[in-house]
Amino acid sequence: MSFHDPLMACLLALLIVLLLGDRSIRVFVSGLWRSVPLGVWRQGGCYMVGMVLAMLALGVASHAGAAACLVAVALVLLGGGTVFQPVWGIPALVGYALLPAGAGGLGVMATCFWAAGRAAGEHEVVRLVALILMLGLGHEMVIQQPLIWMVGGSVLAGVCLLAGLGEARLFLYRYCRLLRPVLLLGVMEVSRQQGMELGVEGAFFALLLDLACQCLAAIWPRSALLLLPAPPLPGFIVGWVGLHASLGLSSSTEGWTVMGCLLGVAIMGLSFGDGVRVLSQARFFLRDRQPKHWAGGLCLAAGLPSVCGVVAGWLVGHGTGWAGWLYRLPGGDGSVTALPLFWGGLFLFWAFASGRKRDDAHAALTSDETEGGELIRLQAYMQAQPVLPRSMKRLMMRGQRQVRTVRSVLLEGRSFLPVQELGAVFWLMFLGGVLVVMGLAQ
Amino acid sequence: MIGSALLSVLHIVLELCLQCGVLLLLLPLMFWLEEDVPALLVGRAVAPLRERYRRFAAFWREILRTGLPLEDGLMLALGFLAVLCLAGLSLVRADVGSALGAWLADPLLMGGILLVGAFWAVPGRFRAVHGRCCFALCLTECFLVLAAPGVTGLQGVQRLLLAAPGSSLAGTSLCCAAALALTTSLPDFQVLADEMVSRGRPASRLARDQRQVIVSIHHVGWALLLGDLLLPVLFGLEGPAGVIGLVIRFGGGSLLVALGRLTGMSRNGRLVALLLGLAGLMALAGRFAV
Repeated sequence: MSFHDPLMACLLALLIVLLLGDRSIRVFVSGLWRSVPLGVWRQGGCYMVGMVLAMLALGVASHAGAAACLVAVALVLLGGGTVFQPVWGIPALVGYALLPAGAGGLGVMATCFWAAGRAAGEHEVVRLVALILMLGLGHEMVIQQPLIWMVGGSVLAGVCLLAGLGEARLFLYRYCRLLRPVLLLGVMEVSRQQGMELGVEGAFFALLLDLACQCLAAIWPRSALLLLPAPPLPGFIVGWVGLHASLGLSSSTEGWTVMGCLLGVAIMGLSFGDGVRVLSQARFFLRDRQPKHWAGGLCLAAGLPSVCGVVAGWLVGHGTGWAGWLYRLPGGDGSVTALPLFWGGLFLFWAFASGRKRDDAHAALTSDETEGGELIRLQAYMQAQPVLPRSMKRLMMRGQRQVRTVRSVLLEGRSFLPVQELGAVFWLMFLGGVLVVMGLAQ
Repeated sequence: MIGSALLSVLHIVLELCLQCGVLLLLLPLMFWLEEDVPALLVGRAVAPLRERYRRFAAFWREILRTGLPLEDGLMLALGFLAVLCLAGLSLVRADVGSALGAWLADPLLMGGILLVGAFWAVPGRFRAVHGRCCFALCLTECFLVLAAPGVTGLQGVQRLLLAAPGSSLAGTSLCCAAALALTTSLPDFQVLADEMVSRGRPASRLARDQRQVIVSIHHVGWALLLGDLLLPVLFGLEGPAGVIGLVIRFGGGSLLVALGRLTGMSRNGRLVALLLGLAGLMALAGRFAV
């Protein structure tokens, strides 16, 4: 059992949360003493058994063969029998059982990617379980070869994309959510190898926040909006901290300068791609006008990063500085954002700007009044005389005449120049400018 | 012990209130500089500055009396807080201003907040343009960190520039500012009016005016972001010099925006790519020159 591993403990906790919160499992449990449709009840039972088997697989991750068998059975149960349609699924898992710490980890990754891609829109839970299995079982491989893990993940996602491209336009964005935790885990392990404590903490925090938001979105569809990459929301924090963790890698490690930048932009780009998908799926939740839902969701968005940060700091080993997470979130490279403080200011200001309770009759009356008033006379601030100083206009006309003269002279003079093409002149000037700036930079 | 803590809390509140007050005084001037002065230079007649102040006062009076709808209130709060963080003032206590400047005035964060406001005002349009703008913001952040490892926010950029003047950091942030000015994706007022007409439910004149003022605040925030990147040395000066620096930075940023609009170069993809590439080149040169 590898419960001493913080990542494994977090993944198990998230699986337990999923098991407790999933709707079909609740239907299954209530079906034990009430009557529910048999098909739904059976499906809920399959899900429950599959998730329990997934937890067992994470628990016995040190015995790779048993874990591979459990993964196979769990994915078959969760996918309704469609997961092992491809013949390569079995050899991939056998490869994992033989070489769990080497390249065999790619086998379990390929299987889980396929299973997660097959899961249709409403089975968000299945995708998440596959993702958690992939992260948990591939962890040994990441510790040894993080670079192969990241490159392999990207290539596998590309292959899955090519395999299922024709289905829908949004299919493109489905893999963003799966690939981002893979890259974050890779960044975390690379920083651990290079001995950067800050980077490990930041990447682990981003990974934990990402998985927690995805779990919440699976349990409560309205909170999929938390994954939007819009700044004060957690989805943006995941991208921001991931970007800064990989930038920290690039700024303090030999040989990662350009790779780290590309990785950071890739993580942020995956967040944006995921945002497109969230917007197209959960758009109608935005039109919800109930203040209760708004307030609950915003409190969740404000509090979740701090909670995840405290947990991440505790698990990584900096448990003493937990109070710092309540007002600032460190990126992975020494930069800090004080988003919790920003949330506080936002709530204060928002309450000030829109907190007044208006009863509807009074509001209708005042709005009628303003509409009527608008017809009779303009608002006071719209009755001013426009200004245009004559002297200024005269000056401008003179300037325009000067410019025209200068331009005609220049056009005449251009015919004597050795270089006739404008493009060449532009490039020469540009090169000169670059050299000047580089000279300044010394 | 408790007394000194209370006193410092009082100082912080006083500092924040002073900053808000200065910004509220300066905002109509900024609207005038950003919208009316280019129109005046083209040769159109505009309303005088006095009317801007009167209109702004009417806006706040209406908010105090009846309040805003939920979404508009959120947009206003986001825009005003972004302007507050980007202004980089520190009037009474220096640490509050430097905390705001170092912990919150991050180009990606603040630009993202302003873009969220834009997306909220005109949803569903210009998705590709917003994407391009986000990409430019990400690259800006990357290049700043590349040129100056371990820098935190615009305040860190300013401190580093004061410590080592003429480094490649200044060139990087200048090129990024020009590239961002050319990818601006905030909606202009014509688009906003079209959107509100096509929304179906006719909005009252009051709602339209309020939303225009809110979008102008976002425009001011964007120009401030550009100005901060253009002249990072003037960010976060202490005392009254900070106000002068704020006005100069804002002037620089709005000049960039106006130049992009007047020369028709805005959303010219090749030029943006060129500028971003130049910024990356300078960042890498500064990195490897050390």
